[in-house]
Amino acid sequence: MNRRRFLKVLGATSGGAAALSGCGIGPEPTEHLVPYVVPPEDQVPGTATYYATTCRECAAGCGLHAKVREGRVIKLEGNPESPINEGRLCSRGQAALQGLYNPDRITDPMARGPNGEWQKLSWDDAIGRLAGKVKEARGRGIVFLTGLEPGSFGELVDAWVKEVGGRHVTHESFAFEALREGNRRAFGTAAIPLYDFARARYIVSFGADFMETWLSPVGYQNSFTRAHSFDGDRDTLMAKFVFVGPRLSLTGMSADEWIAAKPATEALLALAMAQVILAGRLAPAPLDAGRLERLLPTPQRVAPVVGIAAAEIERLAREFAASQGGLAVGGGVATQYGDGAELLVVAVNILNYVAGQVGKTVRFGPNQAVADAGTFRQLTDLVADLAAGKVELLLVHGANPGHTLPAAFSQALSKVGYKVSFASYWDETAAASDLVLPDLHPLEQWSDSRPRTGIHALQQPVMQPVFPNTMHTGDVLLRVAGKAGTFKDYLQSRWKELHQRVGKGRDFADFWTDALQHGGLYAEAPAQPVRLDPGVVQLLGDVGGAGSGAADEPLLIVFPSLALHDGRGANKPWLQELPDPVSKITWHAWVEVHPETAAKWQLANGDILLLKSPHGTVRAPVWITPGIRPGVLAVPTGQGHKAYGRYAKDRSFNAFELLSDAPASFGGRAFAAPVAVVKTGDHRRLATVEGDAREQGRGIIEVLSLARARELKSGAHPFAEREVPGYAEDAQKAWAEAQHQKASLGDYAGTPPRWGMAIDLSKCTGCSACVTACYAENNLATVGEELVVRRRQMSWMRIERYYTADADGRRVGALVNPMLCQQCGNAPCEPVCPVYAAYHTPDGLNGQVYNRCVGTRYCANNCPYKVRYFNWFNFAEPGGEWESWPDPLNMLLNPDVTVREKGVMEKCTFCVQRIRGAQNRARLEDRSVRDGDITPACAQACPSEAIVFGDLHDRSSLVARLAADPRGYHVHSELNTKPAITYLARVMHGAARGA
Amino acid sequence: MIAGSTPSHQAEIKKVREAWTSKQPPHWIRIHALPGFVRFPHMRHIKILGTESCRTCHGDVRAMPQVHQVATLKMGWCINCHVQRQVGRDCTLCHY
Repeated sequence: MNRRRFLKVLGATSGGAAALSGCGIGPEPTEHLVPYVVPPEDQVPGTATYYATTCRECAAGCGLHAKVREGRVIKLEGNPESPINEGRLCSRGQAALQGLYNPDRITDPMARGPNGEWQKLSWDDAIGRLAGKVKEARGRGIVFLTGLEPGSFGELVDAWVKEVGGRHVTHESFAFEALREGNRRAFGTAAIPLYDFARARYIVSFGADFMETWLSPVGYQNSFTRAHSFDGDRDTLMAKFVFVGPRLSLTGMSADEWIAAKPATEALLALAMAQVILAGRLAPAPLDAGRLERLLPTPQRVAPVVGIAAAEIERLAREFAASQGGLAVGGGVATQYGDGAELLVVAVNILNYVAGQVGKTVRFGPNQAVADAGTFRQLTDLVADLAAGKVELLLVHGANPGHTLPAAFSQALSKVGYKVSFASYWDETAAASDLVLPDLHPLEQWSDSRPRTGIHALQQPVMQPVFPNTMHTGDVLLRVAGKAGTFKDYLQSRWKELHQRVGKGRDFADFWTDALQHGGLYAEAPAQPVRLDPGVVQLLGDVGGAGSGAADEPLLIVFPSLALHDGRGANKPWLQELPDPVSKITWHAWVEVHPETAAKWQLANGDILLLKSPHGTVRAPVWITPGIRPGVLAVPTGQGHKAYGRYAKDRSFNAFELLSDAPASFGGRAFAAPVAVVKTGDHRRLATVEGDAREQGRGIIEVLSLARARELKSGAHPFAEREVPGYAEDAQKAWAEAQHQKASLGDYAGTPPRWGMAIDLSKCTGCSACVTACYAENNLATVGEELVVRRRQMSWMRIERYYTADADGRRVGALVNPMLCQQCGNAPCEPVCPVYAAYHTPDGLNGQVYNRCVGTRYCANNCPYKVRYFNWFNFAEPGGEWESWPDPLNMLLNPDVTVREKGVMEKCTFCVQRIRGAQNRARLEDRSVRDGDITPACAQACPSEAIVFGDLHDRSSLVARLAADPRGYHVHSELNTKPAITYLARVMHGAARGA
Repeated sequence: MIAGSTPSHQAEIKKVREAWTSKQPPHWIRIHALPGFVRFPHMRHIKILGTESCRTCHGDVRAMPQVHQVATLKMGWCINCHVQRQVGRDCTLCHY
């Protein structure tokens, strides 16, 4: 038996290690090469082309660069020219790819047959049917329900609906009605201004989750970090951030202080702060603010209601005013408790106003388009019309009320004569329709949007449609209306009008091409000064009497999921498998319970509770966390789909079922409800990736107080490497000698670079955009709920979250740390590999040669950071049990990275394919690689720019400078692993918290 | 490159011409294939070895009546050349 035959037998019998090992290069099956007959001019095989377009995963409208290889888009990155996201992108935006290539997309127009079964149609037939129904229903109620469409498509729908005598309703699950209503009452405008976090020096968020789903999370996180990160060279102080809310959200985790005020009393806290500022003349308040002074409640009055000491309120107010750059924002559940929640926004507006910040950190003018979204009341009015049989024809595009308003909408739908859906997936609303006309994915279509005043963002098809028999809804509407031309022509006609106004006499073709290249037109919107509405005085009477406004406990709050949003992300495996940044739970929803409550009710993690609100009942597994106020329970949105494809369907529970179907006073929805809680006695293992909830003093995350950080002189090293114990000295000496010898051999001789990374924990927020970027760049398999429960997730980059508290359990906070391969200089994984698959590269990486690996897993066992991941199954096998990329999801695989097989260990290599790519390019240009040429996927996505990569041997590189920063430390430096990643300690206002 | 002087050459040229007129791409059989876990940057090799260097790996295709593989394209063969020319032979130059 020769070696190859032996391996074959081994492979067949043990089904294990031989898959990728051995020589590998055996006779391959015959492959065919099919060339282009006419090569597209902008596609070079093997070279990526980038197209600028716009993200449509939420209303923020971030600019995208789509990376296209051989005619298929393989990665989405932020467009650095877009003023909204400045080249950064969140997990949801990156996962748009999995919407494009979703295996559950609707591929053809479908109609319900006589027995309710779905039948394929031709487009001519489908459009004919729709046109016939439109004709029939004219005058008998036609309604077009869309998502927020702030651009030409929305205008086309408006015009189309007008022509057929119907009405257009827009629906966004998170439409910020309270914010709009609060601004209207305080300033007389229902617009949503730009909050300039970058210029703020003191930030108070009353529940606003501006890093998750609030308005423009990527842009706000980016500018927040500019204000809130520590930079020793800077003269101004790092801004302080205070988070007020019943639940420590991702946004709250970045806070220097978390105040868990009693639910629904946040407005009183804001007003009392304003009172202190006015009464003490602490800030140059506008003249008309003076008359508020005696109307505002004093800290002494509100303290018992809010549940924090009056002195604390006074301190907050003084700090806010003294910073001369205060910014208060209100949002999240604080504006959605129910009736009267808009008063919080009024209170926050007053606070900003009396501190003289309106016009500075709060700027009306560059207004957010989401203020034009339909309110929840408009949706419920529509549902009432549907239920009353007043609507004969309902068309739905880009909205899924079948999930977000489950009971009421589904019932009402049965009263509608004919329902047409333009969905790309079988969501709940599409499944209940009569005719489905699948739209192109936003990455396949022409469109535009105006996410913020002054910004005209263009959307262009970045590739041919994945499913050729889908059609742009704009084209469908034009054909039904009997209009000539396509939606692209319509779009261009709109842009010609824009060109007339702002084109400055340029040729339109130039103007258009230019806009396409840059992703749109970006102009500064002129500022709009606002004054406090005199009517506020009456409102304050209401608030003053509030106090009784505090909600009863136990109170259940529903918070928006960062990854799944209102549920639209649930059909994308990257987002399902992305650990929630707070709970670290994947693939299912949970209910957050405070340890005291859990002790009282005798609950353990994973116990299933029956949550009964007046509106619905769900079964939810318990997750116990100190990051919630005792007496409050919290559940995320996003799961519990009844349809929506294989990844979303029948997963966990739908939190919307617990909410009232009636709009609150501000026209929005109450995201809180009183609940009765019943223990079921059932239990499940949470699909969590969390190890220990506490850092336990292991030196994984270091924290400095601001005062201490500012004292540090360059060259100081407060986290100096720990002393080597005596018994290890010999070993260290031997190692150093071996290194010396090694450095004279072959590739190791000379001065190769030493790739390194610096991660600034004063910037990292834990948002996990880097995690999704890594999945996209490196072909990481999503393993599914069952394997996550068995701790077999493949995430090369993970965000570790540790809770902190004072000795008495108060002052709870959280710290986060991105953990990836440290590319140790003295790596424990390397010497234990029997086949040299794990080895040290000359440029300082811990290389992992997949085709060499035989799967002993010794390396993973020996890794103190636990950043090596083993392929227990063949995730790439078409049709296999654990298939991670069912057709056509496999089209998003990065051709520059090997797809690993079963039995192989894999890990982060600082995106070695990008390093080699940059080196190849530099070689072609006869130069050496420059600092900044190489950006790993994680660093590129990071909305807070916390990750810096480069050559540590290059003294002038940014990463070398950061590695020498006094705040720098290495995780587990006591193990003498010599990591290439330097973490810069987090800096906090006040005393550093213990772990 | 097909010189075009013999009937068999003419037949091959006809194929290409038909592909162009019918806009149907010809299906070539792939001769030089590397497994999925190897990266080979052509441009970098051509940059160093010159534009006439194709034959180093592909043989003198011009003189071949039908293209066949002349080099094994196995790792040892790659490494031999890298050793002779004293260039890098780190695993992650090609394997990632």
